[in-house]
Amino acid sequence: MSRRRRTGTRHETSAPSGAPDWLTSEVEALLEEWRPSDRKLLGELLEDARTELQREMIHRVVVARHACAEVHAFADTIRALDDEALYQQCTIDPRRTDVPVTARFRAEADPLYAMELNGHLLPPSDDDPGPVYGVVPRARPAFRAPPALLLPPEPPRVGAPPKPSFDSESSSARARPLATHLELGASGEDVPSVRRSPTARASGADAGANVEALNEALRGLGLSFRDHEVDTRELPLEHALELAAQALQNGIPVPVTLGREKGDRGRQVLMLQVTPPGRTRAFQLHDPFAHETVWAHEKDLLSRAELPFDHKQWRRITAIALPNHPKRR
Amino acid sequence: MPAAGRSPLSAPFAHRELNGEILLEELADLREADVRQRQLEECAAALKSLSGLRATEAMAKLRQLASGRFQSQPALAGLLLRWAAKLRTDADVTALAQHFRQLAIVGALIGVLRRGDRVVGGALR
Repeated sequence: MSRRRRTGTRHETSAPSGAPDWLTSEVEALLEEWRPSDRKLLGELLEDARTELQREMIHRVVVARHACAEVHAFADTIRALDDEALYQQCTIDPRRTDVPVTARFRAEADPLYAMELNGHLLPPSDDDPGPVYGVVPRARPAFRAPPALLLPPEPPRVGAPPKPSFDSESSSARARPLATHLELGASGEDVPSVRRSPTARASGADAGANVEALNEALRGLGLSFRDHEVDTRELPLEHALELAAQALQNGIPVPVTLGREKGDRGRQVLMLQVTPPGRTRAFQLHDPFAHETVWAHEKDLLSRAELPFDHKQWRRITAIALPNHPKRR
Repeated sequence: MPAAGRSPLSAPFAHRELNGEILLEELADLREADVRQRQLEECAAALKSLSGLRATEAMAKLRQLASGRFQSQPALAGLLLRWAAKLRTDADVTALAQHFRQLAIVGALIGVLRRGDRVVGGALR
């Protein structure tokens, strides 16, 4: 089943008339960054929504800066729910003690995140390999809060806790989405609110799982990759770049992981090209999440201090997936 | 980077962004047209057999593929025809086959990366 739809119907992508002003303006601002086709799809999803609550939830997911594909999956998932079930799935039970405060705040602003915390996962993928950007399904990791952020079993309260309500949006007690959600709970290794790549965990098991996904997707093309941490005794960054250049010269793009410091696995990008031998070497990097493509001089990569992406938090290459047979065509 | 053959590459195939920005734009267009990864891989495999053909022969073969095997995918067929019209030298043929192979590889890689981030991080943007 392909979730993508194309019809010639009306496409209204503004916030619902009853939505608070901040939500309306946030949605409108964000939609300017979306591709026209994605805006059109959102309009269709809003049209298909059966209740005002469903429409508001979809807008909240947009405001939480989820990708169009996620908004699509979310809208498809909630369409069958009545308002009560939707409210329950998107609300964190106040009695739960395994959800840290930061995650709780984020969940109030981001229904999709709340659904995931409540164990309602969006369908991972279909049997069909999907469009060109089709992907390999992976199981989502269970949420585990870091001990330091856990609530006490019986939190002291003064009076009854306010019941979260999506109808009381204008209330000042309602959590508002922050300008960026990336830092919510970012201090914890296990808090899933931090944007991370599949190999984002320090454990080699996760890295291996991602390379398995890569290899599964590339099996038809006769390619396989192996994940390597760089700046280790076995693989200094200088040597990793040399191997990457060899692969690129043979027409094989190279996935690399960027991070703030050694060992940090922040975001995966693709090395697409390298300049021909004989000149100062530069690598072309593509960030599929920010849709940003840059050329980076080798010396800038080796400085391990800054990369030419807009997001300056990813300073250096921390891991690389090298093809097992870089010279194989 | 496309490998140079005996004859020089013509301008479109010597373009620095052939397997960079141009490839990404093509990929986005194919994605927009719901072209499947499997079809892209089939196309790359079909073009692999072009290597060694003369430009005129490859041009005819590309047109045949566009009007036959990939007729049901207008976006992919259109891409084949656009590139067919740009073939000038024999070296272009090899570069084009390599370009489509890279198109398929990058499509697969980006798909995995994007899903991976969504699965773990819960947010793409």
